[in-house]
Amino acid sequence: MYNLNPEQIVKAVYIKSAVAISAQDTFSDNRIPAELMPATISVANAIQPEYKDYISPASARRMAPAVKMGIAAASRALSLAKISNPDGIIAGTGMGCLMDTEKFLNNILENKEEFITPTSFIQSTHNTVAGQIGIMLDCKAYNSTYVHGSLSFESALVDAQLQIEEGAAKNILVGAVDELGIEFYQHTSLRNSQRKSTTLPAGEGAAFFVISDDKEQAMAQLTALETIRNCGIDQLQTRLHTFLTQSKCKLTDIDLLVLGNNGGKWDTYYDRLRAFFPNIRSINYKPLTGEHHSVSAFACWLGCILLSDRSRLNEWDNRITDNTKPRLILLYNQSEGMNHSFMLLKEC
Amino acid sequence: MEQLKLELKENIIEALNLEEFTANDIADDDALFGDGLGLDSIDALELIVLLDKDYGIKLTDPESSKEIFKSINVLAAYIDQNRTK
Amino acid sequence: MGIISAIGRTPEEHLSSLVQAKSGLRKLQHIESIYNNKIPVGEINSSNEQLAKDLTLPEDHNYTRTAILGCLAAKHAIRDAGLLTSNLKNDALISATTVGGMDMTERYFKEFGSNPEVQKYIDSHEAGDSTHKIAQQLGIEGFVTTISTACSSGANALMLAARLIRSGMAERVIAGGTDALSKFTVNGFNSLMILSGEACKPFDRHRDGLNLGEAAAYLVLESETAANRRGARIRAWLSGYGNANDSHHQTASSPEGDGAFLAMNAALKSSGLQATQIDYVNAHGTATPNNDLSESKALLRIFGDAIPPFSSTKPFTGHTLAAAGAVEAVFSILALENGVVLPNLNYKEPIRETGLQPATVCIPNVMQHVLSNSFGFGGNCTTLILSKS
Repeated sequence: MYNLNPEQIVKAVYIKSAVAISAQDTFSDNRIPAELMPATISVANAIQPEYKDYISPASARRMAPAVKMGIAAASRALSLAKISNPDGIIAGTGMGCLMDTEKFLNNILENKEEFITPTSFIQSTHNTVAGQIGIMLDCKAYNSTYVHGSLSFESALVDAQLQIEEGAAKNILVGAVDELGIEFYQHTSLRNSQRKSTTLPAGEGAAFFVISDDKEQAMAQLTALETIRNCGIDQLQTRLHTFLTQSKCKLTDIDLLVLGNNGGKWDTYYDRLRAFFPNIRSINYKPLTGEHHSVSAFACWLGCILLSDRSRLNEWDNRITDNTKPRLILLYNQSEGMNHSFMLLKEC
Repeated sequence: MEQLKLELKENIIEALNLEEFTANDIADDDALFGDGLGLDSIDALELIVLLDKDYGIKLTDPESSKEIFKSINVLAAYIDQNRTK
Repeated sequence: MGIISAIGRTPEEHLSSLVQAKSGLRKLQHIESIYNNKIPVGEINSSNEQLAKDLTLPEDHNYTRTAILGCLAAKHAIRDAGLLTSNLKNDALISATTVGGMDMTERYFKEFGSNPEVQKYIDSHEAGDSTHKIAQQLGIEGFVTTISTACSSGANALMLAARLIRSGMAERVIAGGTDALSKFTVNGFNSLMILSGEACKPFDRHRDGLNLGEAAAYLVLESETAANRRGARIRAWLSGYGNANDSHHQTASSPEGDGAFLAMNAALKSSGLQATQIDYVNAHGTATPNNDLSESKALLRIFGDAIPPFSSTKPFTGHTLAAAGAVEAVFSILALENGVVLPNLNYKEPIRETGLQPATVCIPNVMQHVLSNSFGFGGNCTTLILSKS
C-alpha cells in the first residue's frame, strides 16, 4: 500500500551543530539546563539571549523576537560548526513574524488605513528571518522558507537534506522559529481549548542547525525523516513500519523515543506509538517548552544533545539511573492527528 | 523653532525606535542619513508618514524627500514653512 | 495546468486575453478599503460567495479566498492533466502563499475573541491552511508543504517540485501558488510607496510602481517515465531552475541585480543551456523604479547585447505575489505552445541607464526555451526555464 513513499529520503546527512532558544535556559551554554522548569503558566515565553553579541543595535531596532531569536540561534549554530558562509539558508515558521503582523494589522484597522508606516509590513513577511540571515552573512546562496504549520521545520529539513543529497551543497543552515506575539496566540489558545488539543501553555522558540555531508565532529546523523499529512490512528503502525523498513532499521534498534505529548485529546497517538516499544525510555519535552509550530526543532536539538553527550540523559531525568547513551532516537510529533513527522537521529 | 526641533527629535527617536539615542544625542545639523544617525530608505518612508500625520505635509517622492531629511535644521525649517497643522 | 486570475479562469482564456492585449486591471471592488474604486488591481471579478459555490463548498466552510482560488486552480490543473482525484493519493503537493488566510483574518481580527461565528477563521489564518484544503480537495496524501518566500514563492514551489521528482522522492507533484487580494498587502505596498495609481508600466522610463493582483496557478509536474506510462500529454518541460539571494536589502534589489543574475545563471547551468538558446524572457518586471532597473542590469549581465525578446505580463494580472511565479510559468508555457512572445503593455520609452526595449506586441517567434524570473522581498530570487515538449 505504501510501497511508493515519496516523502522519504533514505540518504543520511550529519548534524554538525544544534542551538535552541526556548522557555528553558538552553541557549547560554547550549546544554540541557540543570534546573528544568515546567511551563505551567499561561504562556511559555522563551528566555531571550543577550542579543547585542549577535545583532547590532542599528539592525535590532526593527526586529521582533522571532527575527532576533532566529538570527542569534543561526549565528551560534554556524559558529559552533565553524562555518562562516553556508551553501544554503532554509527556515521554517508556522505562524511567521506574528508580532509585526499584528502590529501592521492593528495599524490598518485602528487608523482606518491612513498614516500607515511600512516597517512592520516589511518585518511581517514569513521569509524575514531567512532573508535577514542572508543579508547579515552576505550569503547569496540558496534561500527558502517553509510555512507549513507544525511541519514547517521538517519541511525545511527535507529541503536541506535534498540539497545535500543532490550534491548541491556541503553545509546548510536550517532551522525554525515561532514567536508568541501579543494577540494572535490568545485566539489560537482559545481554539485549542475548545478542541481540547493541548493542556500546555502556548510557547515560542527557535532552533537552528548546520547540516552537512561531512561526518567529522558531527553531533548526530539524520538517518531518516518522513512527514505525513494525514494518518488515522489505526494506520500508525503500518506507517511506522514502512518508515523503519525504508530507513533500513529495526524497531529494536531504537533505544529512545522523543515524543510530542501535550496533554491534549490527540495524545492517544503517542500512547499508541509507545506501545510498540514496551521497554524503551521515552521523553516528553513539550511540558518544558510549551506548544508551538516550531517545537519539533527543539526536539531535534534535544536529540542531538542527548546523542552527543552521555551525561545529558541523567540531567534530563534523575530518576533514570541507566547511564547508557542512546544510539538511535526516534522523534515523533503530530498536531491534532494531522501533520505527523518521524525522524531518526543516530549517534556518530 | 527650538521647541519644534526638540519635538522632532523626540518623535523621530520614537517613530524609528532609536533606543540608543536621546534627543540630546542628535545635534541640529547632524546628518540624519548615511554617516550621521545612520538612517536608511525605510526610515525615510517612516518620516514621510510622520510629516503627514503630525504636520499635514504630503511628500510623494521618497527620493527627493531625502533633501528635506538632511538634518534637524533643514527639516524643521521645511516644516515651519509648509505645515498645515 | 490550472489558473485563475483577473484575465481568465482557464489557460485558454488567459491565452486569448494575452494575445489580444486585454488587461485585467480594474478599480478595486471586492474588499472593503479606502482604496475601493481608487487604485487599479488585478482582481478576480467574483465574490467569495460565488467562488465558494463554484467549488461547491458547504455553508459553514472556513475557506479563505486564498484557499478557494487555490482549490479552483489546482482542480483545473488535475483535469487538464487528464487525472482524477482518485489517482493522486501518492502525489505530492507544494503550494505557495504569502499572507495565508489574511483576507479573512483582517475582516474578523477584532471579533475573534468574542464572536463564535467567526472563530473558524482563526484556524484558517496560518499559511499552511490553504495547502491542506487543496490536498483535501484533491485527495493528496504524499509529501505536502507550503513555501513562502514573498514574491518568488510560486517559482520556488515549482523548483522544489522538480527537485523532488529528480531525486526520486516523488513521481508526480502538483505545485503552484495562491494569493487573494487583501487590505493587508494593499496597505503594505502602499506604505512602501511602490503602488501605482495607474496601470503599471514595466520597463518604461516613467514607471511609477506596481499594481497588486490576485491569482492562483498550479501545474502538474511528472517524471518522464510516469508521464509516458500513462500516455499523458506533455505540455512543456521544466528544464532549469535557480535560486539565489540578493543579500542586499529587505525590500530593494541591489543596483546591479546580483541575486537576479545568480538565479538566472544557476537556472541556465542546471538546464545545460547557453544564454543564446533562450527565445523569450518572461521578466519579473513589477514596474517599480528599483526592480526594473535592477532586473535590466541583470539581464544585460546574462545576455550581453543579445537580449532575447522579453516582457513583463504584470500589466495583465497585476502582481499576484506568491502566485506570480506559477502564473508566469503558465504564461511561459502558453508562449512556448503558441510560438508567441507575450506583450509588455503600457511601455513607451526605455529606461535611460539601460535602453532596453521590451516586446510591446504579441510577436510570433521560434520558441524552444523560455526563462521566467520571480524576485521577492528578503532578496529571494528564483528563475525557471521552461522548454517546448
